[in-house]
Amino acid sequence: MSIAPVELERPETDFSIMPELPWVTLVWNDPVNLMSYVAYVFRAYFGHSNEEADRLMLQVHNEGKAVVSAGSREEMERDVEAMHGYGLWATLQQDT
Amino acid sequence: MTNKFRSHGEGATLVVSEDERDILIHLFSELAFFLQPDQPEPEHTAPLAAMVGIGTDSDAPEDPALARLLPSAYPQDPEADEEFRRLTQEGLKQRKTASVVVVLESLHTESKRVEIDAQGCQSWLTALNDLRLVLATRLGITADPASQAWTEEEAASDQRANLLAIYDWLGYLQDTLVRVLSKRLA
Repeated sequence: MSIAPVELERPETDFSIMPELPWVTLVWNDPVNLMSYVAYVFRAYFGHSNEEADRLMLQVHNEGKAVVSAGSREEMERDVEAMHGYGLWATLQQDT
Repeated sequence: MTNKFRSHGEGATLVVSEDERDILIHLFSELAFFLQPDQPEPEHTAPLAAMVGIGTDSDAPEDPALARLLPSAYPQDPEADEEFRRLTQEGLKQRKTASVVVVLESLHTESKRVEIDAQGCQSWLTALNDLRLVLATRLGITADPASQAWTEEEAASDQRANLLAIYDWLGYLQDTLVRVLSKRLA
């Protein structure tokens, strides 16, 4: 392995060809939905394990919201619509 | 109250007294009426669009309880919100109404034992949740303290106490159904 310093050219980022920022689905805390129900929805719809569903549910409960999925805008709109079907308070936005 | 959903084959059963069944039928009937999809105006709606639930309905509901059932997907972007509602709101209302209808059908039995199949369990689950969301809004149980729906006088009334007891009971019932269904997920 050479120890000679390598001259690295600083890569120039062309932002015009960067993929669009991904979108995320957020679920917000509300005082009505049962904790057991929210965890059930995360398992039934997203196919999460028991542990992952509980972790997300507790994050919603304790921090007021949690990112529950990420992907294209169309995919996130489908997830939000499904969450509204379950009566969960969900929104989507571009990830920042 | 000791009744709860019990696992039964691929579905569930619920034993209720006549009074309890009357309360459930009354509340779910109100919910169905409340959700009633807007009649699309024929000249504005293509038949195919109507079939897949795309309506002309793109306004956020004014009633706070309906607004909770049909929340904004884009709270920061009114234009995107309107478009999302136009594409999804009518269908969402139709599906919620269909679940309530399934629940009402299962309650119309002479027996104290309400029998519910696997698909019916999903309808009961979401319909119970929607009913609790509406009651909670009426009771002023919301994330937003500014929308407190009851004056102090009303808050002390029997009506509120009764509604609160029903709300708690529905939460208990829903939790027993969640337990039954959770066990079935791999």
